[in-house]
Amino acid sequence: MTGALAARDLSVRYETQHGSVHALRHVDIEAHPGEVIGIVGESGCGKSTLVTALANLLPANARIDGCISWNGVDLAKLDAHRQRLLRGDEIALVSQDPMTAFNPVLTIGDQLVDFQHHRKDIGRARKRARIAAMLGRVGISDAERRMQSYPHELSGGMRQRVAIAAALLTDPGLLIADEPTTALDVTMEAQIIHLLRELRREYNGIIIVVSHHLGVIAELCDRVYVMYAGEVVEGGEVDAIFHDARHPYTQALLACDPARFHERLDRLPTIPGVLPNLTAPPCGCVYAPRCDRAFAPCGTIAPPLVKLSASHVARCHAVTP
Amino acid sequence: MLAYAVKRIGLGLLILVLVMVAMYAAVFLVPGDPASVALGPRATPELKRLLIERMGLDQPVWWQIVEFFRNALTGNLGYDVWSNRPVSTLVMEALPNTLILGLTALAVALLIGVPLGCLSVMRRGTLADAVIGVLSVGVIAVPSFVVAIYSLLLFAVTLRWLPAIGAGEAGDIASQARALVLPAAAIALGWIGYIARMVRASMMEVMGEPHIRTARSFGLPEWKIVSKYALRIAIIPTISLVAVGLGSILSSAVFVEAVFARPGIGKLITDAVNTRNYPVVMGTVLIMTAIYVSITIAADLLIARLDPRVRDVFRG
Repeated sequence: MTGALAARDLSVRYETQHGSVHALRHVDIEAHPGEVIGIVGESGCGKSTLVTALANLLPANARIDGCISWNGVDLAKLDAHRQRLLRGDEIALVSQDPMTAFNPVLTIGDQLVDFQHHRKDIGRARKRARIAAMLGRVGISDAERRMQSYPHELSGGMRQRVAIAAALLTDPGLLIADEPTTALDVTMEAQIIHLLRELRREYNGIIIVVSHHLGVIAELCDRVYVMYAGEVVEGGEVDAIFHDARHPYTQALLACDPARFHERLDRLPTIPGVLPNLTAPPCGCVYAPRCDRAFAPCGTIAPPLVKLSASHVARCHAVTP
Repeated sequence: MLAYAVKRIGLGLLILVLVMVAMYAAVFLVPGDPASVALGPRATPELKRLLIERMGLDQPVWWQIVEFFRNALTGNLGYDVWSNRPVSTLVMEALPNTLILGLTALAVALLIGVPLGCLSVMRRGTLADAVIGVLSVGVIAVPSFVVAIYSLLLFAVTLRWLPAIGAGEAGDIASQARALVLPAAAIALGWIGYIARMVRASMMEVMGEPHIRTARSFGLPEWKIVSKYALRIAIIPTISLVAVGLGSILSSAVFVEAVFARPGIGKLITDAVNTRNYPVVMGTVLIMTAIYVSITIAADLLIARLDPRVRDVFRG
């Protein structure tokens, strides 16, 4: 099933004992069938909150404002039951850590059969056959035997393949991969990226890849949104972001990518300063306290979203089209 | 799995031997001569000597222990000092009553406690959760003999709905079942609370684990997540608790049997201790220890069956 996804002015806050945490503020993103969208940013920038909101999996203390439109339906206004019916049917999530993503006391086959529960039209034997075929497709040999295995009997890379297979089994229109390679070693990471690249050729839904790893994003995605402190600060085609970044934060982030340094460094470069406190976000630009190009209005006035080209936008006072 | 079972059973047998050694050591160390205590101050030395011989107390302690186990292996647990009936017969007569009582209580406690714990988790933070929590702690705090006495007063004496004493007419299942209600409820009540608390606590922990989020992300219904994905893991600490608690269930059966004048192991052992009937005490303790050890082993094997990770640890 295919359809278009758009978040409009999406804000999410978590109500805690220490006040509201404004984890996501006024986020606008969109994605079209066949596109691979990257979401990048440092830890705590709100990328997980964003995809959790898209997957309708926010915890009970989360309050959501704005709109998430999926095939013309506003996900933010659906009741819990309708949301559950979309999860694992039209929207699938490959979660962060393959080591803990599966139930340790049920076999892989048992869980993957359950995950197809929306398919009332096919029986258990047919579901098992689909699993075997899908496991083969994601590069797992002797699929029949692997279905009898428990998660702890599989390696991390294999579990991540199983997680991707599980998501694809549901034939989703929106596939969200939240840090799909973060918990893996470099070899496994390369294999999983290779697998995802293979998949995108045959898959015509939307794929959203979340990562703090710029290389992963550059290799997989068509368009990228850069997030900082709960806001999308820049968005555009992969080429535009990686070669013509305009927002000071994106530029700083790219300058810190270890992959850009060929000679050995004693110290890796970092962006000075820390993330703002999200219980009381600054009223001006969120990045202003760490920005080397900040000037008068940055501290007091929230910067506008500046349109740089058809798809390239940046939220900054200092950029001009 | 087989090696694991053999290891656990071997360990169980060792525990049996150690318990009996400790029992004999206790008899040996307690001051006073059991025969004169049993016969009273006016017994003739002749009679005393006879009784000491019959109890085998003139032999060295280690020999008594060896003899005991040698006989036990052939099914002979010795003879009642007073009635001269075989101890094995006495125990086998009393055991079914106590086992039925204990197992009924346990089954009731599990059948009510586990769903209450699950309900608490599914409705966490609501009034239902709070009510279950308060009631659980409440029933844990009340000792089973207190429940026994008050329920006896209310349901048997005042309302006359259920019989007050005995185990029911022999051969009449309905009357035996009616006689079982109050004693079983008295034991089960506290355990319902224990089990509900335990299930809720371990379930809350499991529900926070990432694999539950995975199950949610595939849109599985909440009841299925709770009953299949979470309960299979969360029930494990409860199985251990219940296995260990069975000892305390059987010992509370002793009090409850006293209150309801039910024949059973509890009554057998109390009477035997009061009359210094050592062969009966030893035989009963051996059987109870054996039951206790078997249940612990069964629980460990069940846990290994439920959790493949435990199975693999013992496979290697």
